[in-house]
Amino acid sequence: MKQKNEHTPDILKSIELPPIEGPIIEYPKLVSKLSCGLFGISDDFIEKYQSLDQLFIKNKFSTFFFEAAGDSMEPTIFQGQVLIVDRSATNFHGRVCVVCLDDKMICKRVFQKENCVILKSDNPKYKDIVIENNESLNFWGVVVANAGFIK
Amino acid sequence: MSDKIFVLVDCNSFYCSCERLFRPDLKNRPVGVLSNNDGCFVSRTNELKKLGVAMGAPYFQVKNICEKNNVAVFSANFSLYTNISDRVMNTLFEFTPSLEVYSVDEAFLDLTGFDQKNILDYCRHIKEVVERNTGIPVGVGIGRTKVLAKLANRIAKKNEATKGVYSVLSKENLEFALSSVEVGDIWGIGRQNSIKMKTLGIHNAKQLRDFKNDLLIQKQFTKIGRMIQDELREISCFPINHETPKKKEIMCSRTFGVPVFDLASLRESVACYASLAAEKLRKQESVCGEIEVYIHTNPFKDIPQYSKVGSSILPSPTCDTRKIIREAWNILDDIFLSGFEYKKALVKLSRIQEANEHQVSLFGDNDSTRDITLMQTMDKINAREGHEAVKIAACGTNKEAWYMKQVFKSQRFVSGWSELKKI
Repeated sequence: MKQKNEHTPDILKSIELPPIEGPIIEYPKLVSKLSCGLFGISDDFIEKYQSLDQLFIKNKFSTFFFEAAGDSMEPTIFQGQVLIVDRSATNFHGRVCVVCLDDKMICKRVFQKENCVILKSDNPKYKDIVIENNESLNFWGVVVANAGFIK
Repeated sequence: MSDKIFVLVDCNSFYCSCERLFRPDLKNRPVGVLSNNDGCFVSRTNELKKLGVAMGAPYFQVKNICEKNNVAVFSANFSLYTNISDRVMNTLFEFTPSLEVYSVDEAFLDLTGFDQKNILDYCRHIKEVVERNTGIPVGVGIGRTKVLAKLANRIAKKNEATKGVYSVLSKENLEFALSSVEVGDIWGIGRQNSIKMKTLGIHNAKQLRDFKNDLLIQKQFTKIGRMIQDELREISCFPINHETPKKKEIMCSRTFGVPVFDLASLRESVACYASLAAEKLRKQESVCGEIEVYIHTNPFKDIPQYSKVGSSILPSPTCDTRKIIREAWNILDDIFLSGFEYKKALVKLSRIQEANEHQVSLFGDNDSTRDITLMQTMDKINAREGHEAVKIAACGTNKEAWYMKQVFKSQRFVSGWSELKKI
């Protein structure tokens, strides 16, 4: 008797498939009982859809969203993108952070030096901000990712 | 003596701290948050307290002080506060599974079994993590009972030298705390009771603990009074409640943003309050057997006054928004009189029972499976798509006609995508 999955419907025979590029990966055959109809469909294989939350949000309760304004962090961050900011992260050095400088909240790359903190913009158009008086500076959180629609 | 360790974590000026979270410019400014409809202050920072603005002070009375001192005044942004509260509570939950969310801004933790020597460091660590992860400053009190934890928390807040964490596990600290806290400031002793206690010569917590005549305390202040006394003696009477008890009454009322004269607007507002109350009712898996509606004019205004309450017992208990609105409207139509300037409406659901335990009426209009499924579907859609994504048409679409006044409301920083903070 012919196996079900070896049977190719006529309609598929007439379709020309593009040549395969790259190595061919062999997948292990799924072993499952056929109830009826499609091969391999059974409850055992149901997994959750991928979720962006799962990928980008390590700690839901300490993660907040912001909207990027201005071009000072280009080409890392563009205006209008959503910034995913985690307050629970403790390592700031070299990372893009949200900081409170005096009365303002800004997004800059932070470098901690011995007697000062340097806030760098990724866009070379902007000058470094050197802060020697720690009192005017507060770390708010680390920007772990950014997201936006492609225009 | 109890060998338990209770910890009370309490957010400092919670609503104000939420407003400050996204506004670094408010760091050293006095901040206050107003009740619904911008009526009176419900949360104040220490800077505002120092200006003499009392809890519950009507805004219009202290408006001058606020303007003169550059006070940042906010309308209540409850969706922001509940979101931040949820973050605080869940962060605390990582430290112990035995946690009781006592209110929106305070929680009891059971840390029984921790080494007494290390508990202070551990609580400082908890405080640090909550403040770092959520941005909300908290005070921590540690004691052998809930009443004592609350007492310790009070000292942690008032006394800057404690740096926000205080323990009354040691005898020395306990004696200090008991003698420095007035009897009226003990958790569970109201103003009325504190006056009565003072006539008995009890002025501070220590005097209540050492008061010899237990029977008199029981007689004058009921069993609860005795339990509070025992808790001061380090005998634990109030355990951690893991589940919030179900409400026996659900009330929903708002003051109107603008005076309302017509029955149509009143009907809309009553339908909205009834919907909200019914949603809460279903959330705790209950049904109600009685509905009450109350309307009144503004007693502070020199206008003809009218107020009336009406109620009705349902033929069979329900949690169906449609039936509840229908009945609320019947009551409203009965009590409404035209020609008055209405200020407020209230809907109250009572005779609340468990949804799966109530007696099915033989003749009444019981909720069918179809009705219940419809309501559940509505709740699910609203949970996913936002409040009032679907609603009963009776609630209307013209909320401007009566909806509450919130002039100073901050952005929706943590709900929705359109009002994110820009940086």
